[in-house]
Formats: sequence, structure tokens, C-alpha cells
Amino acid sequence: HSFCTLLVVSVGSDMDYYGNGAPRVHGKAMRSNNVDAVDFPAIPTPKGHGPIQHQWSPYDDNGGTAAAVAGKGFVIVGADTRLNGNFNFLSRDDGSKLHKLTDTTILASTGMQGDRLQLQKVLEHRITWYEHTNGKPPKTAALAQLLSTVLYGRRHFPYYTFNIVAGLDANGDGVCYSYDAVGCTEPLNYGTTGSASSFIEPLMDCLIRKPNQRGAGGTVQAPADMTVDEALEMLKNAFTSAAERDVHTGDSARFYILTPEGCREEVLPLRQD
Amino acid sequence: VDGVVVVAEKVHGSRMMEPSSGQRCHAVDKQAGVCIAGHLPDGRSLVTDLRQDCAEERANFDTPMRGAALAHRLGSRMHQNTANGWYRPYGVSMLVASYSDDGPQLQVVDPSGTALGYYACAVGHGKTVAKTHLEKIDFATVTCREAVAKAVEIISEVHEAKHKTWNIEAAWVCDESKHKFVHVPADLLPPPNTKA
Repeated sequence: HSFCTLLVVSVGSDMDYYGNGAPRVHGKAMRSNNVDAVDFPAIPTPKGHGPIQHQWSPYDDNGGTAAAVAGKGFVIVGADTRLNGNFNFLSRDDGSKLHKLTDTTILASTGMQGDRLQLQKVLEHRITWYEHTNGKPPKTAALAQLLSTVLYGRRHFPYYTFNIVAGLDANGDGVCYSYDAVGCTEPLNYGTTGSASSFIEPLMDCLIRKPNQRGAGGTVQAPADMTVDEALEMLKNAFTSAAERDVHTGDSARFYILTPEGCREEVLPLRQD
Repeated sequence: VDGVVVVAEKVHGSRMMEPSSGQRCHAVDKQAGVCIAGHLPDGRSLVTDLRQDCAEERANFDTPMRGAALAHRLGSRMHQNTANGWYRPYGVSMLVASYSDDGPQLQVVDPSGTALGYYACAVGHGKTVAKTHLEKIDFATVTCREAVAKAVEIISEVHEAKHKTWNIEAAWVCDESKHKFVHVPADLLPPPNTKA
């Protein structure tokens, strides 16, 4: 996700990117297209460059990864507990990536922790009022739609969160909705988000959905029909592998295993480097 | 038990008036609708507001608005006009019929904003007599088709303005209408009385 990147403006059209070219005369402003050259006082600039503008960004990426797998009668969501700063760790034990919204729905988010916590609060508020008006908690599909609307409501200053809403649908089967930062969503069998999503997503494609895959002898591969335990082991291995290769993922992974009977929690230790 | 029926008696000002105009029963969403009892323009304004509320619910939660929630929303709107110096109360009672995932619901909201759920209700000049008849219905077993016939019977009985042209407008949301609020098929209603 390329986001609000640092804005750097460098003025000086008579030189190349590295600053090689005709030397500027300090004290004389550059002629621009439509304005007569004027003598400004000398601006202290690094040799070979014009004025450089720096821009503060409201966004931060605190890294980490989350993934979810859904099946008949269950959904498992997992996320690592590492909170990253700029080339350092802010925490090895941050549980904010996973958040239970109702008994049947869990929100997993990566991206910026500040926006993540605020988004959780906003959703909790909306759920409380939904319960006041309707006398019962919202279903997973309703929450999925709500999150989409909430995210798009901030279309022009988005929440820097990449979310998954994982829960049990009306039949008690699992469903995962994956989101982009502004609310585009789709219900699927599994979802990944975060810094190691490009490692885990193809792994899950390969093991679960198997699109365009062929077995030995060119046999078409049907999508996998996993049990809870198979899915959990697969997710655990996915996180272990992600921690091997992604610098921002590690320390430990927390899993919520949600079934119609209730929600169970498991913790898997991961590499700490 | 399988849905909700709302029936209105429409007395026409004159023979020149088109029988189908002055519509009283309006859908506010696929699964819900209202019957206006009273001042039609006030009712129409509320119908528009309710439609927006239902649309918002679908946009935000991808779910049809529940009957009780809809009635309470309507009740708060109507109540606001009783507690603010600038406004006059709405001159209508609204019969809200819905069939969402909380089942078939009939709610009646009066100008004070009170929203109450009913098995059956009547509003208007003949309501006392009508209610007596309605109480006799066995709500556990009556179907919507039967209910339409009974309601038509009751309305015909309490109809007083014998010298005016009048007809009956009825709408329902039930299993038979596939949970859609629509006007009852014309063959279930008696032909309009066109005698002057």
C-alpha cells in the first residue's frame, strides 16, 4: 500500500536528479515561466540543491500481520503481537490487532495502531446503539456492511487500517470479509492482511482455494474442506513461516477460534528477531 | 400470523375524484409499509422520512429495518413535534406493517409519538365498533387472506357516509406477497361504490 508518502520538492530545473548541472548563483532566485526574476536574500541550501520541502505525515505503519480462515461451523482469526516502530520494537505483547465485536464476530486489523484503536471504539459505539435500537447484537453480515460504511465515511482522510471481519454467519458457518483502507470488501473463505500478507495469502490460495492448480497427471484440484484443527495447524504454520521471512512479524501469535459453542484462545510463540 | 394487513376506508369528496388517488397505504421499504390515518400531507412527509431511515439501515447494516425499531424511530419523530415550540404535532396516526426478521409486526404510532404493537387495531370514527369485531378474531390461526375479508367486512359495517362515493384501499405484507409490502390483489376487495 503506497500511502501518504513524504513530499519532497526540489527546485532547480537546470540540473539533474543528483544535482549535477549548471551551478546556481546564491542570492539570485530562479527564473520561473511567467514571473520576472527577483533578487531574494540568499537561502541557505545544501550545495547543488534548491529549497527542499518536508511534509509531516499523520500516518505510521506499526506493522504486523493478521490472517483468518473460515469453514463449516468455525472461523479462526490470528494476529501477531509485535508492535513495530521506526526500526525498533514498541511492544512484543500488543493484543490490539484482534478485537471481539460480538459473540459471533471478531475484527482483525493491521496498519497503524492509533487508527486501529479508534476504529474499534467507533464500531463499539455503533454496536451499542444498534443493540439499543434493535434489542439484539448485529449479525456478522450487518457488521461487515457497517465497517465498510464507516471506512468510506473517512474516504478523504482514511483510517490507516487493513481489516478483516471474521465471524459466524446466520447458519453458524464461518465467513471472512477482507477490506482495503476505504471499505472495499468481499466475503470469502479466508483473508490475510498486514506486512506478511504477501507471504501468507499465496500459501492459503494454494492450500485452501487452489485456483488454477493441477495435481499429478493434470487433475483439477478441488478447494480444501478443512476441520477446525486442520485449519488451526495451517494458520500456525503460516505465521511461523511469516515470522521467518518478514522482519515486522514475530514474537507471538494469538488465535481466536470461534464456533457456535463459543470462543477459544490460543497463543503460539514466534521468532523474536 | 403469516403477515400483516392494513385496510383503509377512503371517502371521496366528490364523484369527480379518481378512486385510486389519495393513496393511504405506502411502502417504506420492501418489507415494511404504513397506512396513513388522518391528515394525508403530514402522513406523506413522514413516509418520506421513514423511507430514508430504512434506506440508511440497509446501507449501514445490509439488513431490513426491524418493525419495532421502525416504529420507535417514527415515534421519536412524531414526538419531537410535540416538545418543540416551533412545530405543531403531526395530524396522523400511522399504522406500520412490517415483516422483517422479527416476524410480522403491526405497530400504531399516534400524534404523541406513542408506538404500540398490536395484534389488530382500528383508528378513526368507527374504531370502537371495529375494535369489538377485531377482538373476536383468532389471531393464532387467521391467515392474511381471511383477514382481508374480515377487515373489508368491518369497514363496510362502520362506513357512515352512505351518500358519498367511497372505496377501500388495502395493503399487506405476508408470506403470500413474498414478504413484500404491496397492495392487496384487486380481486380480494369489493368493487368501489360509485353511487353518489
